[in-house]
Amino acid sequence: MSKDIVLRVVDIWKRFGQVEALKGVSLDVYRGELLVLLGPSGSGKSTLLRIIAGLEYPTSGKIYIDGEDITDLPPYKRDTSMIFQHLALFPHMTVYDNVAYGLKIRGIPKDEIDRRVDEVLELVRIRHLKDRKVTQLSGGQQQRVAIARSLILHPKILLLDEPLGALDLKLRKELHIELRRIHQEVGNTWIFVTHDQEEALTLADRIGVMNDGKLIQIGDKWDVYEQPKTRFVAEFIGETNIFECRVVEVYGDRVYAEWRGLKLGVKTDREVKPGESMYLSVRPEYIGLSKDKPSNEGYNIFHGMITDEVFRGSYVMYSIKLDNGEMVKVTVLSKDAEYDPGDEIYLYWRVDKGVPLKE
Amino acid sequence: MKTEVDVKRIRMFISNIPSILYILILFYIPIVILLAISFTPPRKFIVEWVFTLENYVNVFTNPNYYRILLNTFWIVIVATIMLIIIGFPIAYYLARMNRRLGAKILYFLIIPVEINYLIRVYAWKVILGENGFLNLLLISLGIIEKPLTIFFYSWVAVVIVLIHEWLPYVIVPFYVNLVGISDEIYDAAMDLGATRLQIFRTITLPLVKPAILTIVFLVTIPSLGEFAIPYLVGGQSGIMLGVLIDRYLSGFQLAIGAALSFFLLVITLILSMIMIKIFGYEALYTR
Amino acid sequence: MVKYDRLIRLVLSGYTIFTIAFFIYLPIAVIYIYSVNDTPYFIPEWRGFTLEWFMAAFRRRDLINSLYNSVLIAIFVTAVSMAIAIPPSFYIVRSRGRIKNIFLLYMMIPFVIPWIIIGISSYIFYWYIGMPKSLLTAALSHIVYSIPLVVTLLAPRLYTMDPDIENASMDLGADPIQTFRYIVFPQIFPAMLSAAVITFAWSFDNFIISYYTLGDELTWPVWVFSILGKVPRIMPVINAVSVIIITVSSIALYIVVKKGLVRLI
Ligand SMILES: Nc1ncnc2c1ncn2[C@@H]1O[C@H](COP(=O)(O)OP(=O)(O)OP(=O)(O)O)[C@@H](O)[C@H]1O
Ligand SMILES: [Mg+2]
Repeated sequence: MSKDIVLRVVDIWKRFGQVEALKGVSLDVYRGELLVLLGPSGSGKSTLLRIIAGLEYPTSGKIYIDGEDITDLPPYKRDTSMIFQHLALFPHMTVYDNVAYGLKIRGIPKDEIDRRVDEVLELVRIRHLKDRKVTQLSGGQQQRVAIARSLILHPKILLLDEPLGALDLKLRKELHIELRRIHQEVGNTWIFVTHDQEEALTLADRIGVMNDGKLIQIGDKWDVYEQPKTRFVAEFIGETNIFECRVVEVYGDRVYAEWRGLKLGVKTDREVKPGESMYLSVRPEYIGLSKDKPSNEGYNIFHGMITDEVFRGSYVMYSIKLDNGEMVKVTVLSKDAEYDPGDEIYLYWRVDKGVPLKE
Repeated sequence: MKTEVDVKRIRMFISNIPSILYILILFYIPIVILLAISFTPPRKFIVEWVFTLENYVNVFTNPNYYRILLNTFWIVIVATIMLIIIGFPIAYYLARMNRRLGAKILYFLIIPVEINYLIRVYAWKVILGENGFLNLLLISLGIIEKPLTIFFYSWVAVVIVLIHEWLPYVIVPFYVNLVGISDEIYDAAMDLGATRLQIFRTITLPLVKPAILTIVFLVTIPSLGEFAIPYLVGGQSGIMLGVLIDRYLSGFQLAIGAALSFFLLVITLILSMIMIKIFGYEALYTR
Repeated sequence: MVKYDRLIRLVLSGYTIFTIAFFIYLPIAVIYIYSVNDTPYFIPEWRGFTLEWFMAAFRRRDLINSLYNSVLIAIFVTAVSMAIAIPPSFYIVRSRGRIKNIFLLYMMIPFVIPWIIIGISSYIFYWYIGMPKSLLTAALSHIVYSIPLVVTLLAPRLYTMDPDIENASMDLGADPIQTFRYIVFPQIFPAMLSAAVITFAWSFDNFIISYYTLGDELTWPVWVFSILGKVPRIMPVINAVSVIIITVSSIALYIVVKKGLVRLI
């Protein structure tokens, strides 16, 4: 299927004095999608967003919106709007004045401003707070004001820089649902920056993972989750087990590797040669547990002992010590969690659930 | 439970008695005496306890007083406006630069205040006076032939010296307010489509309004009662209310001096009330 | 866009440097120069370097005496006003309502009026009750202003202090005195020190209140005023003392600020 590209970021580099904040980032963003940029602190997410918004000028590279080169345009001439990490609401203004700001600046007539403010406040469901001072609002309400203030300008692209960072977990979860609803109702393109992988998986259509000024992997969120390209991505998104192993036998796409005295089956499209070292990522939820030795074809099966269990709401995470002394994490739905620390156990996963990584 | 709160309240009340009494005895009672004396006839060396409005009638009708009053307001208003115009860009510049460097420069702004202002005022004489540096410079540049006397012993000199004296007290409140505005706020305004000028008008100016209050209390009101500066550098055109009051007090004409003082007090209180109306009571002790 | 930014910054920095140099440091430079210029007169002419004026400063009994009196008054004023002003600072921050506003106004009026009014009303008051003017009367009148001064310096700090910390302390069995001693005092100590430094400096330097309330013994500013313009040959001595004062106090200020004992802003 051919997708409509609204924003094109081409080989952006950004240097601040000694610091190389972005090292050649290229990115295509599709119209109407919600793209989440995920990465640890200092990976350059904010810098990229600010360059797209025009608040920062790239050292080199180009930005296109709908095919038009906007690299040199100032922020107020771009069809983007940004929601800031600390929201940056204007503290001396009411909700109305904050939301109306962009329209007032453009000299839009008062009755149209009133109409559009009402409309957008309706959308974010805080119309009743219109005349409050923004300093008298709760964190979640302030969030909605910030969103309304940007959306009222009907930007082609909405940029959100960790806007939920300061809120508590429960409120964040509530707002995740709200954000998805608002995104669907408005239908424009959103780029949402966060360092919280759970948030990314909840919100995103697609996820782009950044590290050290580079975009490491971008794709549909489940593709990124299930087929991480590097160890960094595998470990950053979700929990995983990483097995450092060495290839011993290769039969087409079926590979056998040695891992601390145990033999693992791996499925891979990559060209590998015997003797090569390899990292294998296996998500804890893809590993099954059984008291009796299973005899399934196409599975890796190992024996070990449960050393610890942690309850995490809907699932339980077991730590298991294998016979070769290595630890493996396994998650099981709470209703199926019938094991106790000390139990001898077999664990198994389908060979194609192990993902070989490029370091 | 209730008694516990009451005990606390009583303790709080008792601990405030010294301050209440102190201000009462050494401020409010003297003010009442001042007020009383202002209603006695204008006599020299004695106070005659007879009620009269003569002094106040004088304040409003004697063209001499009238002129000095207007002069006082003129000088103080010009100085305050000049101070804001001169001081704001500096504070803005300091607030937008590296935090540590800004703080260092502020430190250098404050240091000169450690020299008593009378001495600094007097040093201006060497700069602005008849045989001062400024005249010397202008003559050597060929702009004038004979030394000008307008720089010194004039209202201009008073304004210049007031600017010197109060500039740090204008820059600091502006600075404090300006550093409180995060970069994000400016970015947000720019992102929403505001130009530089619009940002300045809609964001920066409204957010430094509290500094204006501090400046009125810190600079404008004290200047209204200034005595030494006009006395030392003001000459005829730079005469101010403080000089007039001192003239009567030194001549021991207490009644007129008291009336003029009370008049000054009322003016400053009205000004304070306007400020409190605009900014609220909390403005008196929170910045 | 970026170029435009740089231009603005250049203009602003030039402007800042020029303004500070002209309006603030020019007279300071004059004072420094004339404290070592070998002429007793303020003439725009360099007559050679001398330390004579610094020597002369130490020989003048009246000058030394006035400095001593200023220090004495400033210490007294600082100590008394700190002691009196702490309870109202707490009261103003911790309570609300009409009574508090009236109290606030009552305490703050001496703070928001020109000093000359405090000076003159005190002058008339001491005359009226027949109290001879002296260092004591001057100090008493200084305190009228320094009480609200200390309140405005302490209150913002107290404002940001969590009252629950005190409650927690009491809850753990400390009495109010112990709570103040161990919990409140360490928290407000930096603010108190700042307040004390500022109050001291203010009192030491105050001219107008002292001018109307002193007797025969003069403080440093009043003594300077009595010399200014009347005894020109003493001016370089005053300049020399100013140089000493600004040098010593700047270093002291630098140290206490650096050590974080006092916050300037
Ligand atoms: N204005 C600037 N001046 C100098 N260095 C900067 C500037 N802005 C960002 N950097 C540096 O660039 C790098 C990337 O910063 P950026 O803010 O983009 O990271 P981030 O991914 O948003 O991190 P976080 O999750 O902490 O917000 C960091 O090393 C940062 O220190
Ligand atoms: Mg960031």
